[in-house]
Amino acid sequence: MISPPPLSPSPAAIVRGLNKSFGDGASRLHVLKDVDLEVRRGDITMLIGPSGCGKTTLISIIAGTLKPDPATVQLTVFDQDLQKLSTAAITRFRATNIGFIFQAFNLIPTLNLAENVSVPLLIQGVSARVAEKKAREVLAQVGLGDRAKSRPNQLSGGQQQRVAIARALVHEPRLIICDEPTAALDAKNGQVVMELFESVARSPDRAVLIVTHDNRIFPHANRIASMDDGRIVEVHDIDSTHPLPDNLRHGFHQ
Amino acid sequence: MLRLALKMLFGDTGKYLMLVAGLVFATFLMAQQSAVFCGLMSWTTATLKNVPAPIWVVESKVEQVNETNPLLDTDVARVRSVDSVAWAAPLYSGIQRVRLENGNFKIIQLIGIDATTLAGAPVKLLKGRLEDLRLPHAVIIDDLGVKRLAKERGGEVKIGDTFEINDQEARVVGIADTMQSFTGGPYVWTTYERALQYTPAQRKMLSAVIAAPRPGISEAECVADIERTTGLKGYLNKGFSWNDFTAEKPPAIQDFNTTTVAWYVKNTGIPISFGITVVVGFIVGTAISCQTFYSFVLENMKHLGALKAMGASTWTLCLMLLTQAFTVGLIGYGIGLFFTAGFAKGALANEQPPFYMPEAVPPAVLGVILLICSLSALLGIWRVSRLEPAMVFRG
Repeated sequence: MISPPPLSPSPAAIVRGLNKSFGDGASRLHVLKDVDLEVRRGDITMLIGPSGCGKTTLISIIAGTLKPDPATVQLTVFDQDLQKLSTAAITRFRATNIGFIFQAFNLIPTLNLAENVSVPLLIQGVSARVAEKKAREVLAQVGLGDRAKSRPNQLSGGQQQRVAIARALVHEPRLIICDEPTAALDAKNGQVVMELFESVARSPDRAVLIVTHDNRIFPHANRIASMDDGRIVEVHDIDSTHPLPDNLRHGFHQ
Repeated sequence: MLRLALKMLFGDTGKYLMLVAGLVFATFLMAQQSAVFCGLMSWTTATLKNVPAPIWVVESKVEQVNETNPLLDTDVARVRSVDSVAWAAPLYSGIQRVRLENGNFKIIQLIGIDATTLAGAPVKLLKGRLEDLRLPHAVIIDDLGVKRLAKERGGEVKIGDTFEINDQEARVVGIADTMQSFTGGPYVWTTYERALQYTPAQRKMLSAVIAAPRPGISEAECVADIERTTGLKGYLNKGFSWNDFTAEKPPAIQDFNTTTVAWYVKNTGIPISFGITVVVGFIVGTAISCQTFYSFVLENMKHLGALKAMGASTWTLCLMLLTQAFTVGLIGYGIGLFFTAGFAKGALANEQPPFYMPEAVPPAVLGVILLICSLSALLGIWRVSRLEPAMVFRG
């Protein structure tokens, strides 16, 4: 008897015919135009493109922080049709399924590292004691276990981004959205942070979507989608048989 | 999340202290000024407290105790003749000038009481004997007079010391513990006859008749009998009644304390003056609190946006803002009341300025402070409710 082939898991996020406009009438700005994209589980997907091409708007919509235009055909994240969810349901969905890493870290300066990292768990209603215990464990994973009581302003930029990574992972989300995670870091720190990020964040059931201008971190990607003028213009799958194309390896210009 | 909200608040020391300072100022100004106003109003009825007769009978047009519209001496007998009256005694009350040994003049509130019964005498004597008031030239002064009528600044009047009232000798035979008068002068008791000697002669000299009902007859019934029989105005002396004060139609038998306070409220600028200060306290507290809290919220907008993106609901963020606002409110209120208590301690020890805080004042001030905090939080809530979580990606 031949056993059936294993079912391939559905993509983490499926975007079909995604449109997004801002404003009305003559001032209406069509930012995303029929965008199609799949973000696969276990992959690190990078979104690249010149400033103003719509990268940030796209990740905002996939993260559920912005609503697409009604004309959008499909917006599914982990089999959940975000277009059908109420605002409150999307908020709950974000709290449990999505981790965020921001360009400017967005750590709260008056809280210590353990408290900052525990925020996503507290939002879910986990008790402060349990949340801080878990936060310390994740801080240890990113090499800051001994700095749990420190304040963000006592850390370097690279260390702060490691704290942000810990905060994005602490509630074990299935999709991590990163907005220019290395933009505020020098080359060396950027590489260190990305290597750490890859080691702690990559998991078979988790997807990572990164918006970046930093071509030095492209080698960490499994897939790179290039955007221009509100459209996905090119998608490169990168693996042992499909190395990073030369135009991406040697520089990407905004 | 609420614990984090408090940490965010306390972590911004500058704004936290500014918020607390604004609310301390507002609390202190509102509580202290209200208490001084109430104290001043209680001073207006000091004569009623210091001459504790259950019924006061005055000329029919008199509305408050510090207003004198004299009666005939025979009116005492008319009141005594009312069946329901147990006793009635004459009372002189008026402002006179005292000449001290050093030549200085001071204002006093002279009280003349019936020499036989001593009805209307001070309730509590600190020194001396009440009966000595029947001695020639004898007077009893109050604790304020001990300092105010001293020969030299910083000195004290002792039993046996003398001064002059209208060129006639007055010898101190007792010192009483009293409530200070509205006019600021010390109370000086003497007999009714001697009070008339001290006072420049007029055709009518009797300020009031104090009386009490027979056993089994209520004070109100007695007052009604007196008014019906004599045509004079009778008042009860039970104490200020808020219900009577705010009633659309005053009761048939009124309390002298209530009518006195009502007269000052209606006929002087005192309530407006104190009211303006209380309103200024409210406005300044609101302005400082709203401005500072709004600025605090704006500075934290980036973090609030991040929290919203991470899945914190608008309700959670609003609850955080309310927690922060009410926490500074309660801290500011507590410190403000503490300062008010310090002021009260000094005022009560010196008996200056007047200070009386009714039980309703602290909760009322707390209500106003929480209103200020709510207004402050509302501005932040308005901003947070309009905050798009996607803004966190826009830098």
